[in-house]
Amino acid sequence: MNEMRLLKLIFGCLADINIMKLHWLPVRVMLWSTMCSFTANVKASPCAEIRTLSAVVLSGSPVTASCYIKEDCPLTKRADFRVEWPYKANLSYASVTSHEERVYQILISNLTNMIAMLECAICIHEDCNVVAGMEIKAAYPPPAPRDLTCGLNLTEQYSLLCTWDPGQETSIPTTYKLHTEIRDSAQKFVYIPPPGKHFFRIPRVGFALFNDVQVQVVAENALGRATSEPLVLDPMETAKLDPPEIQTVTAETYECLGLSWSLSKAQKWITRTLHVEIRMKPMSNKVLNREHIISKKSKSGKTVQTCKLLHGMMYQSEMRVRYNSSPWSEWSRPSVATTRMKAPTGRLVTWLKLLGQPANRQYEAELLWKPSLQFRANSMNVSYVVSFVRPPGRKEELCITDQQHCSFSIPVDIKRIHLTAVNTAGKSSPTDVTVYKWKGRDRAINLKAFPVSEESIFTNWSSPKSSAISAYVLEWKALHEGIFTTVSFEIVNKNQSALVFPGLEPYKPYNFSIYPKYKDVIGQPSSVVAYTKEKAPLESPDLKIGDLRPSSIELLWDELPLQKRNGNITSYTVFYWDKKNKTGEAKVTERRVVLKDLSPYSVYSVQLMTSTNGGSVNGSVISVMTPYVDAIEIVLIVIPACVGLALLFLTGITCFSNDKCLKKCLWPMIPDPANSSIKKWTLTDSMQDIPPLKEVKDPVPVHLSHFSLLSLSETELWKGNTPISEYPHCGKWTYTGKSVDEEHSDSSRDSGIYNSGSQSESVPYATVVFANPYRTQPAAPPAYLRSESTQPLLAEEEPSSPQPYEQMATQGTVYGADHFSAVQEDLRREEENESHWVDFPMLQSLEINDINNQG
Amino acid sequence: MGSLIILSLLCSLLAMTISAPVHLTLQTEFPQHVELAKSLTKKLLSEIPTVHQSCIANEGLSLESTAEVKNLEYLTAVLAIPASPRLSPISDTYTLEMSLNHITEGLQLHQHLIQEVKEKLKCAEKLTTLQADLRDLSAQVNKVQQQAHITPSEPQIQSSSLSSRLTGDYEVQVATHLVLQQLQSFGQDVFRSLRHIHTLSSISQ
Repeated sequence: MNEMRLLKLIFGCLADINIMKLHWLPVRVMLWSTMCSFTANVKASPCAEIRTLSAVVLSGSPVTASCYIKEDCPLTKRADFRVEWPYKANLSYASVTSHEERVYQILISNLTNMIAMLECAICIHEDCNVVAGMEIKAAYPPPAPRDLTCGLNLTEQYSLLCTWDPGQETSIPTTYKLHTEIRDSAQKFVYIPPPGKHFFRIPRVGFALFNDVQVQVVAENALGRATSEPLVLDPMETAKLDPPEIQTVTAETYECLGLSWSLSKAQKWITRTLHVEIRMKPMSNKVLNREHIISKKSKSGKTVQTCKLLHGMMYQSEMRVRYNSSPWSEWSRPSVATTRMKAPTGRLVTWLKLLGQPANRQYEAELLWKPSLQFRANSMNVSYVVSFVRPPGRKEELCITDQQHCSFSIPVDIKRIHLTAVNTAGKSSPTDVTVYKWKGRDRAINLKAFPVSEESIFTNWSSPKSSAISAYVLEWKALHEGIFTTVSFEIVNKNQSALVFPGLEPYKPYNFSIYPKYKDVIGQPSSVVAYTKEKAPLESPDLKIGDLRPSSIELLWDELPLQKRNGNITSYTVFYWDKKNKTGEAKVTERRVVLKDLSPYSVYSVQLMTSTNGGSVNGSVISVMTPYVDAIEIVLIVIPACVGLALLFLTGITCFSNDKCLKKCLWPMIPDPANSSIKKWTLTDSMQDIPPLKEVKDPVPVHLSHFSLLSLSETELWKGNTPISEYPHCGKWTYTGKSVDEEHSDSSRDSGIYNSGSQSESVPYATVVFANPYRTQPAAPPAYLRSESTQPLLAEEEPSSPQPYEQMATQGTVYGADHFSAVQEDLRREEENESHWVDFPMLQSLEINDINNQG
Repeated sequence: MGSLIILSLLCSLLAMTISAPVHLTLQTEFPQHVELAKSLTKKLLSEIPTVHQSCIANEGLSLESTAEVKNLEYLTAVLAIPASPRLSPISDTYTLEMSLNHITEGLQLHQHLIQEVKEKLKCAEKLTTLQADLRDLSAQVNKVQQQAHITPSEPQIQSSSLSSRLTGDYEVQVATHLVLQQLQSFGQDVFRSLRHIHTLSSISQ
């Protein structure tokens, strides 16, 4: 670019000459050749040069730069040229007067830029041409390397790998040198890692074994050098040894195992005592404190004794080593051996349950047990023998098992059984188990369970105040394991009212039961199912369609298996929607729901959501179509309804068209004594005019003891209780028909209708006074009531009413056809009639006629 | 005559009683350094076959005792490889100081010999490692000497001029073989000596 500007300047000068001597062609050719050669010189020899003390300076320090203008610079031919340092926005400097000719200096008081570009320009008037430039870097000396660490690699090619942290990177190249010095031999080595690498692998010659070596890293750049803190180490103490090899494991003494071991083949030369860790792991799930680590010191090729082990237990042994404070090696390959065996010792904790009532003088029983803190099986394989002693000392075995529970039958008279642990080395002393019977009546204990964490459940219970409870037995089992579940138990003190059950699995159901234990009986248990933590069920049950109707759908589903519940099912929610997105939902707790108010012949999508306290899960969506309205169903509903309506209508028409008939039904004909005359009639004649009343068709045992057409005052009718009580049926003939006994409803209805017609201003003129049936009829004097009314007996609308007389006669006929003894009844009636008919001549004549007719 | 014999026997017994125990004035870390020297000796011995296998291409030259032994007496005489010092069990005539000094001398000798053959072999790296082992063992023996308050003997400048006699590759191979063979034998003697010293130090402590 600068060259172009220079050429432009030269061409400008030449242009002036050309104008003056344009017509001189030979001169023009010569000038062209001169111009070309000059341009080449300019390229070959720049006009100026910038000099500083150093191209790299300490950041923040002052920098002096000088621009040397060469004598032969063509840009300085004119006398009015000047030298300038073009302004840089991020660089502040000041010109410094130089004592030398053609030297132009500037001073940058504080160079903080990482890289500064200085340029020197020659200017003529306003036209400046950069003639030289220089890049100056501002940087810092390197920081001291930190965190120098070394580790010995004991592979085939021994080497000491050292790494360090260079600290903050400088902007200028920094070299690192690793210095090692073997202390005792005073040998020194220097290693230079590749550029940019901050680690180095020191070869075997550069360090010593079992001898201190000093290692240091020196960082150096153009501005200075820095040295790390010296690291003095025995390389062997940084070596990670190979995993050792356990050669043999022997069990020579009780509770101990001897491990013969050695270092790897390549490291067997290390004969010094090493730190050893042995990890012993019992190969039995029954041991709670399963793993323990023993620290020892040992030499390769020696035997390490590990003691305080369990008797007769198979152990998996692993070992690792280190030299002094060096890193631990990896664990060796495991080796398995068994300690020496002993007979079991200690007692067992037992829990005996009688299952139900005895049959054939035998109890079905289940015995659970577990080792006490003092119990030692002293072998891997231990079996248990449950037995009892039948007098006089004959021992009978109930069961032999390697489990920790057993079911058997025991005679009802056995009070105590024995449990013994047995292995190949011997047997333990027997644990006595008392047979507790069930307590007959017992108040259930309220057992509650709350989750504490994902692995434990807290249970508490309230103990009865006046209880003779000696202890509680808490029993729990995992329900999701089905029949193979193991029942665990814990016997707690009577004063205890809470217990935490650890070691449970989340989202699994557990059943907890508590049994109060009395002096010699066991109380009724209380149980609760609980989860340590709940979450949404694994899946939702499949929906099944039950009864399908045009406007309703019955949905059913199976119970979700315990393994898939993940919690207590709190509710089921059925969502349904049709194609018009008309939605609905039904929330139930049982496994059935009926969706109602649906549209016929519509497709509904249905989905079941199953919820627990820990979440919900949706099932698959099924589509259900409601059916048409069934034609047969319509027929079955509509036709009977129409028929019924038609019949009702016809009945109504018939009744209203026959006014007389209706009148007879609603207003019975009451005879008018004033217009009455004594007439002889026959039963057949009278029957023709009498409406087919029910009482006629259905003979009712009416026990008439007296018949009177006289009216009786209301006060007299209700006077006193004695006649009414003595003749209870009289009361039923009074004002209201509602209190009339059922069996006399027909007669009472007649009277009631009459009373309602006359209301309170008229009193009945005639009353039929009943007596009790003849068998209960006392020999009391018959009571009859006399009508004292002076009013006509009937209203005008009933001008002629002979029928009631006829009815009375009919009733009497019917009565006479009753089951009672006709002879006795007739005799008694005759006596009564003779005594009363005297006062009623008209009726007496009627009676006489009647007798005559009968006769 | 009999009494003289008895008297002489008693005197001899007394002398033996006085001279038999090796009285060591040792510091507490003495056994540890002896043990470390043993370890390094064992490492040296384990390295020699590997180095031999890497450097000696001639199948007839083997360190195995069962291998057919060539008659190299002539070449041994021609090459004139300096013999290593003779090591013996510690006794009243062969003291701990003598033993440790001989060990140091022998180690230095073999360091020089290996240096001379290394320049003419292509397996320089392996031999360098062997030299480092010799150096570390020598430093550890020096520590043992310090712990036993023994002034280490001045290193003798051994100018065997072996390299001048290594005129050809075969001679180089044979010389290397003989040096390694000699070093193996010397290393075994060193291990025995150190084991003996360790035992004595354990007894004395």
